[in-house]
Amino acid sequence: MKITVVNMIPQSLSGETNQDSEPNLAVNPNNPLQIAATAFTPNPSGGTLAPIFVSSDGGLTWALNAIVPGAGSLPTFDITTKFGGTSNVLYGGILRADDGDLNILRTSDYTSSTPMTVLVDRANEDQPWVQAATATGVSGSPDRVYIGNNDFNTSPNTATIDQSLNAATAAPPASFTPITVSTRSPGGGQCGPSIRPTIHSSGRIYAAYFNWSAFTGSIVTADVVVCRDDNWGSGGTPYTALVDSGDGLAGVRVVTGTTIPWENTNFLGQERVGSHLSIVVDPNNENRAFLAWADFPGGSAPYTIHLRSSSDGGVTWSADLRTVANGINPALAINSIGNVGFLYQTLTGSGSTWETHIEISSDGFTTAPAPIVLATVPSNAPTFQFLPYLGDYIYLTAVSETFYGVFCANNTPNNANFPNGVTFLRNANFTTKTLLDVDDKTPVAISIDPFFFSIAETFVPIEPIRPIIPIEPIEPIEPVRPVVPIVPVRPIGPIGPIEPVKPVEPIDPVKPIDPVEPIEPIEPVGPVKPE
Amino acid sequence: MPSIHDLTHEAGFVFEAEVEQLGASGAAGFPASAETAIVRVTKVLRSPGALARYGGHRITVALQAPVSLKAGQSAVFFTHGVHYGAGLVVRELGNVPPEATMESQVNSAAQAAGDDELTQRLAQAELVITGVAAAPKRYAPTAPGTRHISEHDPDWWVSTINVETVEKGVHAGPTKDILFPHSMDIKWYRAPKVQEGDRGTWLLHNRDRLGKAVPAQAIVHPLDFQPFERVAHVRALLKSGKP
Repeated sequence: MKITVVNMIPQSLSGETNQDSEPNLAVNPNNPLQIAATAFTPNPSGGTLAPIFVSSDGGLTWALNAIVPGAGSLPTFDITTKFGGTSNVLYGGILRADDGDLNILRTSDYTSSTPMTVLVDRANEDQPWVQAATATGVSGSPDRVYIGNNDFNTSPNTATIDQSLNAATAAPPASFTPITVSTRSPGGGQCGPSIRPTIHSSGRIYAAYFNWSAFTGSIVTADVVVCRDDNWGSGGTPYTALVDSGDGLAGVRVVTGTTIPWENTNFLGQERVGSHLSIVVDPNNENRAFLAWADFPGGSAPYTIHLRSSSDGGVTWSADLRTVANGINPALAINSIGNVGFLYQTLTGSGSTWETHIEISSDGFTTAPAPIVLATVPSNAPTFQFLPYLGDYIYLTAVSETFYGVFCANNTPNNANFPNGVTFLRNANFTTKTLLDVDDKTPVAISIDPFFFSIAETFVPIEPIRPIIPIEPIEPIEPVRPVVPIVPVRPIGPIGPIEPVKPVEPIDPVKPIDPVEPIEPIEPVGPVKPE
Repeated sequence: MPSIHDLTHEAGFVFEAEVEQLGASGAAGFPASAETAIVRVTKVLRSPGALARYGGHRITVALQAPVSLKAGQSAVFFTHGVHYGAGLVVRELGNVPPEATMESQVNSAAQAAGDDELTQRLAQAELVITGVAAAPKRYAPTAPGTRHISEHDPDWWVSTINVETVEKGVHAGPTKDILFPHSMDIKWYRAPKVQEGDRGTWLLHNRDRLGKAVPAQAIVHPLDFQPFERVAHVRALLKSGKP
């Protein structure tokens, strides 16, 4: 497993001291090297365009690109972005800094300096939350975009999804249509700020939200509701596929009447609480989903995150698989091999420390995995500039087997604060634990920075290459002479038994030879007369 | 060509620099073009804190077309940042030749820009009073109405001002209740937070900074409270009657 953590503030902004809280992340599924991110980061020199963070190398380096319209003397308020699936188009949902309106935005090139196009502009809104996908199984492979938002124009049923079934290239409003997903008339007058959709490639979409059944003083009584659509939200009665067995209304109430403190103050460390919610569907199984939210369990502190799952399309939900006391900002993702990532921040050490953890489970949290600690930083420094201190949310996603995420933390360059390592792009001295300005000399006060991370699950470390030792030159060898073919030898037959040799008879001694009488000469024969 | 005053008012980053290379970019991820130039900053004249120490550094400027600058030439650039990566890229609103008095001109323009903004707030205010604040408390509207709850709510609090002088508008009576956003949310954290004993000039508005109606006259902008030491300056701006 390879863990990479990067402080996203670029080197050219080494002198910045903003509270860059509330991060969000968008990884291009078509090319995971392309990543966009957002935070409460203003354009340092002002102007009418606010920046997003951009990376083209998988998150190793970052730059700010000022392309978000509606900037003012304050940074853009709530902002989230996502890429379409294969289109490379980046979509944004923002609350503008100049008038507070909801804008839905689009750009075909997130690194270009061309401002994003405004597709929708609407007042009286809160917390736009973008999800997007390319419907590759649909003719034309259109981009489908779903933006959860709390639409006060439709009070009391404020939980809304603005959706477009073909968002990539159409002229504004690019077919975006608001659809109210809450079905119960909330006694608290509205739903909570968090409306969270999640998309499966089959066209199934889940959305989670808080139905506020009461609001008294600073205490919310809420149902945690999950609704579902099975065809891209395109039918006549969208988001009604799940019906609660108790009241017969669309949207299953996973829990009812839970207590959530609404504390827009320094309630947990220096952070506020009141609406923390996350849901994700398994990319390999549309029936498998995980849900996390925070509340006062049984009506009492501490503020606690609950994690639950469904294996039947959201009809029923498990009991708590995990709970995290003094926890905020749950964020869920499931990778291509079905491992579940659970990211969160928790106040520990009797309130002295904010820890950012991710737990990765291969068994659906049947067993509790050991958390990976991405950051462990002081909670009381720096002093907050505004709320939220770290963010009302952070984000986790997965492309193939790799998890990608973003969180915010105290930016002291101290290796002990980042147990799994960290890279700072801004000037920093890790020996003196001091941030340095662009002159690499002047100390800079600590602040809150956004941190990107990736966890590659199947990383196989490349062994270091041993140096190549030069070999001596090879002496030329004599040419090989052809070998005379070897004649096969007749097989040696079996040797017969050896007869015993008869003894040799002694031979008579040799008699001497009598001398031979001489031969009388023969008279010559005359010629033969013819007849 | 806009004036130094107008350029300074608009630009967030003003600096003198020498053009080193035209048609070039020193920032990976920001492509070079005929309108980009690498310049070496010789003096920072006006900047946010994060850019204050760019003297001596090379940055990329996206120039306005047609480009008339030449390599080796110096100019004062009035800019906004557009790309902050390993290198900095700014887009110019304009440039002027350097002169010895440029720094004082820019400083004067910056101060004037601040006065312009205050003058604008004074012009928009329905009522301007000078006085001392009593201890604030949470605002309880007399007609509750429909309240939408958001993490971005202003959380109105009210303080009673003991009125010493009415500077603009009409008000009868020795006191005036004013609202202010008590919230420290990102939308409101810069608005003044009234404390008991605060003495100064209060610029009261019927709308917030985003143009939305407020329940009662309120201070909503950092300039909407001017400490008593500045009351003479405020009166001078009111009297000058600039838009």
